[in-house]
Amino acid sequence: MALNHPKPARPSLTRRELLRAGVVGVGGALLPGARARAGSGVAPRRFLQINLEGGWDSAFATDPVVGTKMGSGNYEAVYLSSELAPQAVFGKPSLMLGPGLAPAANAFARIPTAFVNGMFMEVSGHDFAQQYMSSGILSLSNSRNYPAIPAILGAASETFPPHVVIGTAAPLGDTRFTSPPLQAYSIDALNSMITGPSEALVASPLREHYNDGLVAEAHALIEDLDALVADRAPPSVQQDLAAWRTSSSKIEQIYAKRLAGVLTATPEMALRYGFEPGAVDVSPETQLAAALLLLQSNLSPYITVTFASFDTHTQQMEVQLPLQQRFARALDVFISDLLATGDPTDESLTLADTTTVYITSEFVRTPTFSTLGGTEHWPSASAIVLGRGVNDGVVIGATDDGAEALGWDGFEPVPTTETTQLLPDHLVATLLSHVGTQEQADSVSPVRLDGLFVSKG
Amino acid sequence: MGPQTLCGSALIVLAVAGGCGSPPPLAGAPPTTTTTAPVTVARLTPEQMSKSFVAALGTDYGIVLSQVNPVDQVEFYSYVARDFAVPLGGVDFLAHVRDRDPLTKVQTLLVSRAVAWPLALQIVQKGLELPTPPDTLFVLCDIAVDRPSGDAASAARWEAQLQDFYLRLFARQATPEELARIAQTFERVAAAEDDTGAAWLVTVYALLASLETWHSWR
Repeated sequence: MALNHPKPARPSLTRRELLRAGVVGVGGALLPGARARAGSGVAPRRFLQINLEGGWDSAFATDPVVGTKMGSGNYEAVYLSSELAPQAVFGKPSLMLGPGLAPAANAFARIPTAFVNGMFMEVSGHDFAQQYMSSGILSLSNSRNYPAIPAILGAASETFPPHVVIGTAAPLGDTRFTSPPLQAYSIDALNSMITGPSEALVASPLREHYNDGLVAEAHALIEDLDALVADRAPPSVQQDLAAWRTSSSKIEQIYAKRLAGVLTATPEMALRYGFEPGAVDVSPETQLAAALLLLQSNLSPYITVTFASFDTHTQQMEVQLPLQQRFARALDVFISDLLATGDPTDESLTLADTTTVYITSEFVRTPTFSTLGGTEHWPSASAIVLGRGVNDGVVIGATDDGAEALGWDGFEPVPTTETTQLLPDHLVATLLSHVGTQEQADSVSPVRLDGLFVSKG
Repeated sequence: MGPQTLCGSALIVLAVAGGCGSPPPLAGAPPTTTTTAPVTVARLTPEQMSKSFVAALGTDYGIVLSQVNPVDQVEFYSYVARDFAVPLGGVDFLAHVRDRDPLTKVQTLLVSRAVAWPLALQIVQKGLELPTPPDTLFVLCDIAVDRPSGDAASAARWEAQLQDFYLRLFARQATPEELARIAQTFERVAAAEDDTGAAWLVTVYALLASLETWHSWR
């Protein structure tokens, strides 16, 4: 079966020409952005980044072993197994799914979906590669990192909190000082933070005395005691004390959202996503449910969720494949919910209409197994983009029969050169151009992946 | 496993902070016949408190402030603390100084209050238990009776208990202004709820959530 890359309307300039000119691409990515506000007539624009930490196996996912790869002799035999045969998404013949993503096939058929394969990943360390896929900036420095897309968007927005992270920390760069996110390891922990002093923990005999007035008295007392201490503090700490008190006022904004219970999955939701009601672990199931709850709550339009364990240096078949399938099953439910849930600021639209989702992992894995039955890091990366504005059914980028990242020119895979390499910067800049501003995108790269989006987000 | 983990560990920390020997008996109680060592009170530094908090923060909030190097199994202080950007007073002492954000962020307060509330609940609820448990911190007053507006002896016991909390948390006595402000809230809550236990909950939570608990600049 030959790879089939559909060809969107070809612009007058090839990508090589665009690269030489150093200008941004066409294909709908140049329209000035319009920040959406409730009631403004402009649809809200949401961005969700889902990080599969560790480096997923794209051969099980978006770049399965098909066509000439099958006879190349470069892949582990298991990838050629008929039991694990890839399948095309219904109605989107270019979107070939490996067995890891097969449980999400129906969902991909229902929502605009694109794959990006064969991005050359120059670094093999998890942290550096994750930062590269998240920020579009390649850095080998431990002393500085660069902000991920949701952090950039949040920092530029007028929303508070600017960004929410569930799972492990996302690259924040300087936004950790200027516009830090609310973050927690799990949605349960976030919930406990933002709901304030909760009645749920109060036992008798105090329970009958719990009320909002009690909490208000406590918070007023905190404020006054803090002020009394601040008055006596040395000048060297006054700046930090002022920051504490400024933050105190913002806390009230968080509490005022009254999100108690909103960010808690119902038993029915937990069962649909595939986890035990009340579970507080971090897994694909809980994190995707958390993503939906966060989108519904409108706590922030920019969200990152992460979950781990894709770094399968051992037990490739015992861990990587089942974990991807778990993710795909939960993703199937998540996409269905996106399609069925109204946007909290514009019920005439669904969350699928207003949200762009970027699913990424640091890199992919070797095409053959090690003696330990696992795989190593491989210098290529793949991603999924779905939702708002996505050009449905396209695949941008490819790998050759040896799983090496190919170059990309004029919508065709070509031998990689410096000017044709498809890089994470290009994808990140394209995403920023779609959901953010041209300035944000240009700060990462002048290059755009033409045809990834059909309309400005 | 929820906030109880934090409550248990932090409560032990606060109880230990009471120092060596037995606390002074309640006023009016029959004198003891045994000889006790002088009471010493040593304020726990945030770094000392943080060991319990770090463990509990990791369990309840996934805030990992250290990480074992898988290669040589040597613990090192993780970049996660730096990137989390939440300098929880002494709790963040694991971050490199050059990376420490000196300014408090909203999340710092959210986490500090989310930690303070269940801890305050456990402290006060333990104080209300009957029979009185051995590790209660309410040893200088009758939590269900004594209040600032009580008779002189009652007010003195109430103040002694409050000053004990100040010593444990801040290694100092409350100033007259602080005493007056806390007494004002205490009386208002006690009157509204007809319950001094609720007033103590407000008081202890406020002390635990205050910036002085979470900052160490001495």
